Amino acid sequence: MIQLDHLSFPSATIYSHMKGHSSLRVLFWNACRSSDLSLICDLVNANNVDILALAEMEESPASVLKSLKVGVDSRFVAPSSLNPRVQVFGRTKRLGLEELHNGGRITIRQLVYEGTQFLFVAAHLMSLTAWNTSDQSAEAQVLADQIRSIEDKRGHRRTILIGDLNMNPFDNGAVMAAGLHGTMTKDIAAKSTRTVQSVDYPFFYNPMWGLFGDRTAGPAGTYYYRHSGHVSYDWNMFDQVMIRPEVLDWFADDVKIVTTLTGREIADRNGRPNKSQFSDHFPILLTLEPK
Amino acid sequence: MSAGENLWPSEMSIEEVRSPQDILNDQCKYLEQVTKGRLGAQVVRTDGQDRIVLGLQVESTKTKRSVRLLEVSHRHNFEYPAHISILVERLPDYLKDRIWKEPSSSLVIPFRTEGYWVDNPWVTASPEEFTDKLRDVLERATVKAAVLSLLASPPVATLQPESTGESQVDETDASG
Repeated sequence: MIQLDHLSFPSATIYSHMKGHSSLRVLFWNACRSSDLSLICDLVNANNVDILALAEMEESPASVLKSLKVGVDSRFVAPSSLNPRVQVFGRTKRLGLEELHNGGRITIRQLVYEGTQFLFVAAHLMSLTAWNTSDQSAEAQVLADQIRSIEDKRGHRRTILIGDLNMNPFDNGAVMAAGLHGTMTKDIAAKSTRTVQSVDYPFFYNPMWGLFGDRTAGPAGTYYYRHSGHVSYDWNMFDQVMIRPEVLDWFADDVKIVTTLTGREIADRNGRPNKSQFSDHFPILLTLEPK
Repeated sequence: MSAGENLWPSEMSIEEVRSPQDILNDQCKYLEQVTKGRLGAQVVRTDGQDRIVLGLQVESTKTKRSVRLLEVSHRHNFEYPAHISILVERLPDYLKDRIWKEPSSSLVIPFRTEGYWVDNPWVTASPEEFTDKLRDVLERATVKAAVLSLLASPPVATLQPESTGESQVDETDASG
């Protein structure tokens, strides 16, 4: 396959718009039907966000874009999309972010960063209130099929997946080879593929494994839910970033769960997402750095 | 002994026994015909652990941009019942004429809720039902809008080395 997508040219020319830094900061947030546009702007400003992906946003993309242009940076763009579930905004047109494929619950975009093309996948899968775990596993497999298909068409696997997967990193759909195939270490992901019954399945590296529980700087997860049955994780990591091993060279080892915002009560007094004033999900923030 | 009444349902005539994949494949061909080849369509099959998922995907032959319009799920070895999911349809609250509001989140007293039935109008039990529902789906405004948008969308820009700097691109141009 001819690879026309990996051209080298000076990054300084492209990223002069990012004053003071050439890192790329990507924020995903399940807004829980929020229509608070000033909150969106505050989040983007406070975290120097270059790419914003929103799920469960009640305001139209045009309204969000208008606020971003006024409240953050007039260069913000919202490339057209046929996806009804996830909205994607870029700080500048140069990031691309044109929609290559709309899979209903995912949107796959062409991202240009540091002279290299990536695939940027934003997702919002169905919740367990509507589906069971078998449904989710099947959906993860369908989603992974679509990603691999677009990767094959584009001739590379420099893919970044971010979104509310409504499952944990250890759930079948997130781990199984035919699903998202997310693994918890870079070493394993760097092996690129794993063969199951003569089929090679590419890995994703899932850094969210490292953010569980108390022994991290942030909260124990992105979503809190106390189940009434015998098994309750309480904290869940439904909002996830996964990156292909081909992106590891750009990965700054920096994924955060955002819990603070000046003047806003993102977390409640128990340190959980403040659903009444913010959302039932914490946002997540990924940083890429030049290779 | 005389023959009794035929109890088999009328849907079981030989002519009508077509799988969801057959019916979807037909629609792929029809779409390519009516768009004079500007759109290609295919049924993408995923074999899951407990089901088969058939995705009806449409792609612009010019831009290569694609959209998955719907998915049909059924069990392995059993083509029916089949469930149709429309993927390009989710209206935000601001476009709905009626929305559901959850009770106040300040309610912390645990209580037992009664189970309730939820009708699923997208389950089809026969080729005839499947065809009828599929017709409904393809006639929906959101599905038509997705197909027409695909026909109208500009090609995704290819990456080209820059020679003349930032001034060539209008950074304020929002395409959303």
